[in-house]
Amino acid sequence: MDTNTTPNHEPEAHLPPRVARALREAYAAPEVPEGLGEVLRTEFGRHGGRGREWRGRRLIWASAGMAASVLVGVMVIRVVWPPATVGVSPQPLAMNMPSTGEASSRREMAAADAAPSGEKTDAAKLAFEGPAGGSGGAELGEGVAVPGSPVVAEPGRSLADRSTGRFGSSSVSNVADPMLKAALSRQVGDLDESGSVDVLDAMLLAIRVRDGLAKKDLSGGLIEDLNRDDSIDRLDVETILRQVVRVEGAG
Amino acid sequence: MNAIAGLILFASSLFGPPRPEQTHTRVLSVDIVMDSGDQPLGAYQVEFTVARDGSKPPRVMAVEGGEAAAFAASPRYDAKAVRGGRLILAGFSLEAEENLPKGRTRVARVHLRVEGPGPQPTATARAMVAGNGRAERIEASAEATVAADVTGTIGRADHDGWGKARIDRPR
Repeated sequence: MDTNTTPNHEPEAHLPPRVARALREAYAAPEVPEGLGEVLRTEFGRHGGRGREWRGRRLIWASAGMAASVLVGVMVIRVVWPPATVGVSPQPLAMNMPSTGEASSRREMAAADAAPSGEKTDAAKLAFEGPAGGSGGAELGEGVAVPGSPVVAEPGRSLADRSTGRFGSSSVSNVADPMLKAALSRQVGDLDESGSVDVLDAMLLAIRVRDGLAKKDLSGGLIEDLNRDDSIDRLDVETILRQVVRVEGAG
Repeated sequence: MNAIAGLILFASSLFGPPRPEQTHTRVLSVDIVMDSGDQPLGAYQVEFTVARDGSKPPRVMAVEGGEAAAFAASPRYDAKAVRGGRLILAGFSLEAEENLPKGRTRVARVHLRVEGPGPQPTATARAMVAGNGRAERIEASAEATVAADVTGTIGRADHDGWGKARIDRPR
């Protein structure tokens, strides 16, 4: 047995020097009492050292602090680097039309072809924006927050304005081609092309559904599929009827 | 002790739930009649308005269908607009043309609840569009006529709209 080695005072060896010194001074002892040192070491290790327990309130406050830090960081980043403006296009080409990108492209080409060569760009823009400075675009729904602003096409969007539930119409009075004008001015749900959506359109669709004559639109989309569920059935008739009887400002 | 109990009873009588208030309520039934002449009526869309001078418009309690079998079902209307005094009623029938009504026919009956004394409400109907059995537009007119005017006293707290009122409907 080695008796010359320095006795290893276990509690003091595991305590920080400042703590051990303070304990020695407090107890006026050359060494930290063994039992006291063990208790202090345990408590220090649990609450005072690096191995803190993340429980209860400590965990809640720490999480809140981290979340607040992340939030502040995100806000600072957004201030320093503002996000790019969404929905603004230097060349607005299509309005909120019920079509895929391919169909929109066909309309753009048709509008451009309908105008004289020198005015192709302006005619194409007019066809989809309405008269300059007018509110033709503003009637189209949620994509048009600012009256008169261009509307950017978004493939797959609903035909109806989701905020008001109404179908939109476009102002195409400047389009020269009568066929193109008729096609563009046709309201969604106006199956009999009377210029307005009424109960006769719902009845016409109901007859087509009953007789199995529901047809596809020339542009490639299902023009009678008003609720966009990829099927033409009585639910589309209901959609028209709801639109027909809707009273503005009610509810 | 009795004094405290009496005080509690007195306070509860002051702040307790109100007793059912008796109010003067009338139920007005208005027929919507379409006249399509010699054309069969297959579809209609009517704007119905009701107004009352000096007070808010009567509330629409219910909308019934018409007298013809083709329009026996209730027409479509905006349920959110029952208090606004304006409704758009629409209906169509896919029956064969020989089963569709011609001439004057009642397509709907609107039941109104008129609260309190006051002038008689005025109801009007305007034909927005009408069609035949093939969904083709036809000329037609619409009018609103009072079918029943029932005066009753209905307790506000326990009424069910029809409870104590006696309704005489024309046969």
